Amino acid sequence: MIPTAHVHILAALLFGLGILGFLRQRNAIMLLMSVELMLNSANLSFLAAAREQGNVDGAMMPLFVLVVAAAEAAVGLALIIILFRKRVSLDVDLLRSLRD
Amino acid sequence: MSDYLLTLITFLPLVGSVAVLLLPKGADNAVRWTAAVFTGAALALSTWLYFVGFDDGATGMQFVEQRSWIPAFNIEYFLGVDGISLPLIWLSALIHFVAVFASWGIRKSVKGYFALLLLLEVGVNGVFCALDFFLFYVFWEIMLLPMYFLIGIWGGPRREYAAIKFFLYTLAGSVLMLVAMVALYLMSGNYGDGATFNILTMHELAGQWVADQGTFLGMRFTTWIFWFLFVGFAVKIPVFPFHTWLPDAHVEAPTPISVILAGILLKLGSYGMLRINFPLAPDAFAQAADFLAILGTINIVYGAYVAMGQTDFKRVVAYSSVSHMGYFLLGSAAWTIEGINGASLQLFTHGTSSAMLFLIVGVVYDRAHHRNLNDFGGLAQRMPFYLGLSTIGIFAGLGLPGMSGFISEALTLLGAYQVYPVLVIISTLGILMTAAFLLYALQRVFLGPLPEKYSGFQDINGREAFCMIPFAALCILVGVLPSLVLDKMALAIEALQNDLAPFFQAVAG
Amino acid sequence: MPGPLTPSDWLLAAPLLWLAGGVVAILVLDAFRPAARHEAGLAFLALLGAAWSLWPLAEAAGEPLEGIPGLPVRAFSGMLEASPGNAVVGLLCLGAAALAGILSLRSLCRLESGRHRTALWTLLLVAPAGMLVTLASSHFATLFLGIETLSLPLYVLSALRRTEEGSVEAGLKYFLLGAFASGFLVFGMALLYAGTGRMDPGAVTAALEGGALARAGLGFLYAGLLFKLAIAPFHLWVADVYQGAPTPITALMAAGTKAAAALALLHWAPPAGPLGSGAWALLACATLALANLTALNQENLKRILALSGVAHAGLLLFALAALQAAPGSGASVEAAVNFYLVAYGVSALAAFGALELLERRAGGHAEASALRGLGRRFPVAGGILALAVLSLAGIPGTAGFLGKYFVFAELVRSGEVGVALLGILLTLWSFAYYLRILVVLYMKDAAPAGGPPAVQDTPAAVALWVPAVLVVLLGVWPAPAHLL
Repeated sequence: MIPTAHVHILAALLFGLGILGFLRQRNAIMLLMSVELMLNSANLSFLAAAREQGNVDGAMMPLFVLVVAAAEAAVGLALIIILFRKRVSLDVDLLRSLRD
Repeated sequence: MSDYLLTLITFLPLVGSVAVLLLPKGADNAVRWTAAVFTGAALALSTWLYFVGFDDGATGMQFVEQRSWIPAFNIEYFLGVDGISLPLIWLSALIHFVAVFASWGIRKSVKGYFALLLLLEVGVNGVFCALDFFLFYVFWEIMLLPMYFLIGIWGGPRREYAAIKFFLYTLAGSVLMLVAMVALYLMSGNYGDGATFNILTMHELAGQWVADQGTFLGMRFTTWIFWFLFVGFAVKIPVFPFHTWLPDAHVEAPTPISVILAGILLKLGSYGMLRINFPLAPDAFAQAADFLAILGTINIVYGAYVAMGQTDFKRVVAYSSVSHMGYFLLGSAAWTIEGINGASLQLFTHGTSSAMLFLIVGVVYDRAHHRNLNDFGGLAQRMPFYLGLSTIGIFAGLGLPGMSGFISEALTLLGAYQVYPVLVIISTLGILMTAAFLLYALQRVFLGPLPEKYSGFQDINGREAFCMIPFAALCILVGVLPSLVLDKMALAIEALQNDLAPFFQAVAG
Repeated sequence: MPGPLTPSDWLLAAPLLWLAGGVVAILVLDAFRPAARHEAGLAFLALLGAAWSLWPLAEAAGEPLEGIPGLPVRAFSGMLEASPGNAVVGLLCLGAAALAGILSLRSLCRLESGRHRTALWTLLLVAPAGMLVTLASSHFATLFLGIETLSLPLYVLSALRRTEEGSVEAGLKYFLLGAFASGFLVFGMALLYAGTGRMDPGAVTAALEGGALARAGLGFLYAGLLFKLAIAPFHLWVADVYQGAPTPITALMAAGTKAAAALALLHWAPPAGPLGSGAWALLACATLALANLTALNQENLKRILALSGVAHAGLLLFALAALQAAPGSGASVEAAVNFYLVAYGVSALAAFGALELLERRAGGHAEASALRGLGRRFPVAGGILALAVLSLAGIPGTAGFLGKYFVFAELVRSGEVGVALLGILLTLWSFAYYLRILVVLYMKDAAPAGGPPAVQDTPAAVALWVPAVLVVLLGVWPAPAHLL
């Protein structure tokens, strides 16, 4: 049996990876994937904690998160496609028309 | 009707303001007459209040209206009038009524102009009637906005600058007032029936909180409150060194707005001191009185001195206002019956004479489109009637015996002499200088050869005369019969003086 | 044990059912009769129904509702919890969606085909549903779902003018940063749950007494919430998104999202004591200062109003500081926050709504140079914008003044006089840019008319009077709204 703490550490590492990816990557798709990584690391933590606590409250949350993540991906990809059609690039650094 | 008289006087102009906004576009004359009707109605009601309704022999507040407004903070809709506010309410109604006629020539966005003018009157009348500090503050701020727009939209070339300067000065002052107000509210919570904004209740509690107050950052609470309130009100008077917005505002404002500004807006600060600042922090007031008297003297002398150096006619009059408002400070700092009476009367007489002076400036400005004193001359030949009215205004302004200004200044100096003989002697310098620059202006405009370019000038028309004659009449009438005003104020001032006198004795002893 | 739905459950579910029903009705009708223009009518019907079903709770002051044990109402085993004051804020959210809809009738609705209209109206129903859930959330699941349900529609709505670069950019930026913040929110919840074993607001208390895991979770949770509320240092997205989004949508975001997120933060705020008021006060001051500093240099009125929204959110944190400093002040602080949110909400609705109308007259531009002198040329829209700006600035006689006053009064009452003074000074500073808007609108000479002439928009012009009247009404007679 893997100790719960180890799972939390793994989750934290994945979460950190997600943050790092979000801050370092400039490709919109990569940003989306980084966010997915963050959400799923939370799911991991939820599940590990639920196992430890012995109740299902925590096991229910990942279901919500998964559904929301799917919706987010749908919206995000749609927006990214519009951007790609306009710019023929996925580089988010090109998003600079809103300035003063 | 008398149950709601003060509400009517305060809010009739608001009804007028809404009515003006509802009139169709382009109906400029209807707009003007609507404004005239509503300010006229407020004037009629306050005239009734002044001469018939108000009981000279009664102490305390009259025509009181008291209703709960925001129960969560014990804020009330509380109006009332006593001898100190009565003359000012009437003066406000008169000045706004006259200002409507003085504004007849405004062509730019007529609807907006008169709507704001009427809104301004709501704020001013409300401040004089309010006896709940929170309500007072709301009216105080409501007045700020129309003024800002009236200067900023209908003003002269540097209107934006003048409007923003006016706004920021007044706003900074009113925030200090807000802080002091909240502090007073919290302090009142320690006594009696819990926290209140009721100014009269606070007045009664003042003795107690002076006795058992603590300190904050090494200074007594009431001292903090006194200075916060003082700066808040001093900006409006304006007291040196907070006066620099005034000349700019006056120069840029259109004539009727200058009339309102000098005639009644400057009185709000003084009224606030008498009603709130002095009575609610009496010990700090007694301690600061010497300093206030010095400030008053500086106002008198400095204002007059700077006025002498101006070539812009309107700037001259603006600085003369600074000088004249110094008498209020000097007279009330002495806290003798004569001094306070003189100071309060000065509010009324200066209201009439300065309004008159600004109307005088407006007349030449409308014709010549400039106000440079060095460029005028000989207008007496073309405009004899105007000369006559101007002479009354200028003589009232410089305090010639027989005119209203003489009575109030003499009373003030008489009252102050008992306490500050040296300052009174210094401030007579101000009288001399005021006489000098006003007579100089008179000479520059009216005497000497008439330049060719002014030979086509017409004497003042009926409307202009209609605006100036009430003030001219008041200048003479109050000069001959000061009791018309003094009798109204006597009891209220005596009671106020008695309430605060022990604190002065404590400082002296 | 879960049983049949109780009256409390029904009370809080009814508004959501109305909104969801509206969405389903629009989509189904659209599938069968795509040519019919039924969307707007159905959407307004759903919003009205939701407001009607929320009304009993909003009205219930002091006495409990029939068949419902006590106030605040707790529903679904405690997953949702709402007081009458919360319900008033809920009504504000519904009103914001309705106003956004009315403002769109003559602009966004006419952009493209029927598909477009369907998206607009369904999303305009989903967003307030998310707001209602968020502001009543008292469980991790409802908090997360609520926030996502309000955010996802707004991402899309922001990008609705998809031929315009700014609109798409706003949507994408909002989406990316919003999703990033959601990551923090969920991870925070996971850690809190791991550390305390709880998923209700009690987890916050437990975390403060618990170990490092739970405390870290708390930090992540607040970071996520503060992002939604746009508190410094998480406020940078606001100006871009508000500027790029269609103005009706901006109005909805300013009034609704802020209110919902603020109440969620209040629900999940730590109890008085351990954390102290210093952190909240510091955040509040930093937010106000940064927002003011940035707003001073902006040319675009939408950006200025966006930063004014940031400053307003910052000011709200003073209420949390007051809560921290004075244990037992919960009810009065909550009342102050509710009133403040409603006051800001109606002011922001009036401001953005009027700005939308002026923008159309200026050829779709919201820059100061394009709006010069328009206040005088269009007195009604200009007047409403000026009134709203005065309310945002906090001039007495408007709702905005009383809102600020109540918050600062709570702060002073809790003993934090120094913080209150600092806050008032920072608020004063903001007058600089509010005055600038007034100067642009009224004191500059009018710019030459640019772009095609705008369509006469009677529904919008009429609807705008509602928030404008409320700004004055709540400013002079706050008692009914403040009974909360």
